Amino acid sequence: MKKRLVMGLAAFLVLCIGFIYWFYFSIPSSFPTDQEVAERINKAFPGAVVSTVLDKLPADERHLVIPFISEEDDYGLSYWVWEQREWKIAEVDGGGRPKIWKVDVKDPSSYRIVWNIRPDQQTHSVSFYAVQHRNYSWGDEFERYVPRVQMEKEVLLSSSQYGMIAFPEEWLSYLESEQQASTSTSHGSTLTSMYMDSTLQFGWNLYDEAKNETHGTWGRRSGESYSFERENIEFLYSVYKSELE
Amino acid sequence: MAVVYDLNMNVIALIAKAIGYALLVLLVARLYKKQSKQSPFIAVILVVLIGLFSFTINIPINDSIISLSILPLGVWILFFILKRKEGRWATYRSYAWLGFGANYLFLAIQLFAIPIHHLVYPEDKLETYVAVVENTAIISTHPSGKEACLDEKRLIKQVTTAKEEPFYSEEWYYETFVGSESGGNERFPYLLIGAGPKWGSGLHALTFIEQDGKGVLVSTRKHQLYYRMEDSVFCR
Repeated sequence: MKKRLVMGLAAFLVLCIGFIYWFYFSIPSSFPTDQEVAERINKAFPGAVVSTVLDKLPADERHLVIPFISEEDDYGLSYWVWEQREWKIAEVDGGGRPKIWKVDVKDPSSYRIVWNIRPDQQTHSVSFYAVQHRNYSWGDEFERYVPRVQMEKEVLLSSSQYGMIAFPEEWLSYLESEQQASTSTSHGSTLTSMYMDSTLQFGWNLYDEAKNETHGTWGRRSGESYSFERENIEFLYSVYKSELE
Repeated sequence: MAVVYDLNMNVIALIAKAIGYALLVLLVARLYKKQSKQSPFIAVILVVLIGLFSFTINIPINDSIISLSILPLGVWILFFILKRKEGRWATYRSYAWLGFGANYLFLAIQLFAIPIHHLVYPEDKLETYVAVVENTAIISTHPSGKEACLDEKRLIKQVTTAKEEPFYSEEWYYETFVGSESGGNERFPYLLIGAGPKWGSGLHALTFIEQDGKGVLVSTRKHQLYYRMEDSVFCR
């Protein structure tokens, strides 16, 4: 009798764990269909009517970006997260400016830059920048000089006006070195539990074929955005050519 | 919050901690043998561990943090739990105070370890920060940095002979202004990557390389150091 009870409990436990795993940690087998995407965005973004679902860009197994065009000619972006066995909309925005999705904030290699830029005649390429402003300070004991960091990643828009990229290797190397230096152990402790924000800022700009700045054209609802889940999706700041070195 | 468990950690601090606990175990064992009434060993360990618990103030000294225990919270807790039964507090009292006292033992060892760390890993030597020079490379972190190749051998050779030099951050800052001779150029347009600090020091730093390949700016949370070498570390 007792043995059966124990067996029963064990089986129940295994089932529970199995269910929890299935419910919370499963990996999606498919993306939402175009029709589903359109319906869900229309509901989430008041007044928007999706006319074209452009693509489905997976950031990883559970994070998905879907660029779209609306009937009002907005070039929008929607961010989706696989949670509890369904694709949930994390954010929808009317496009215009590229964004960074920090899929796992602590791991820069999971960061994705996404864009969906309204095509126009001049605009030929988009450049993304990692910038640290030059600075200096001095005190009683130590001088400090912060070199300017300016790393660029150029993407041509001729084949496609939308896209998603991970950070270039150099950016990741820099961030990794910086992270290590900022958690450098002091004499007292062998364990550090600090996560320091990077001093790098991320920006963007549009260029024509001769690498002159262009201004882009904007949809009526550019910059409008609605978030539903707590995800780290951030704007890139506008870098002007005049401030570049 | 990410707990970064660094494999290239501060070995001196780790050894100091291990010695501290080893000494504590020895002291507890001695006390245990001396006691006439033998209490269960598990209980003794528990009492010592709770006894360690105390109210502390943290005093930063240079870049280390010294924890000074003031109030024996653990001892008090034990007193209130154990006093209910006659004679029980008397048996465990010395263990509880030993636990509290161990805080000062740890502190003493830590204070002893700091100068040793400075001795083993001199903080003003380039070799402390740029020690592991395999898989080292440079990345260009500014458009004025056009070199892409690092001569590892020449770097290894010069790491020990590099000279620390004073610098003037204000001067470096203003010389980059447009209109001046080197306007739009960065003095340190490269970052050295993959070069870890000396093993066991835990002293990670950002290491920028100067335009001419002969200067290194070591930037830690605490301070910055500037070194010059005779020969460029770029490939020829």
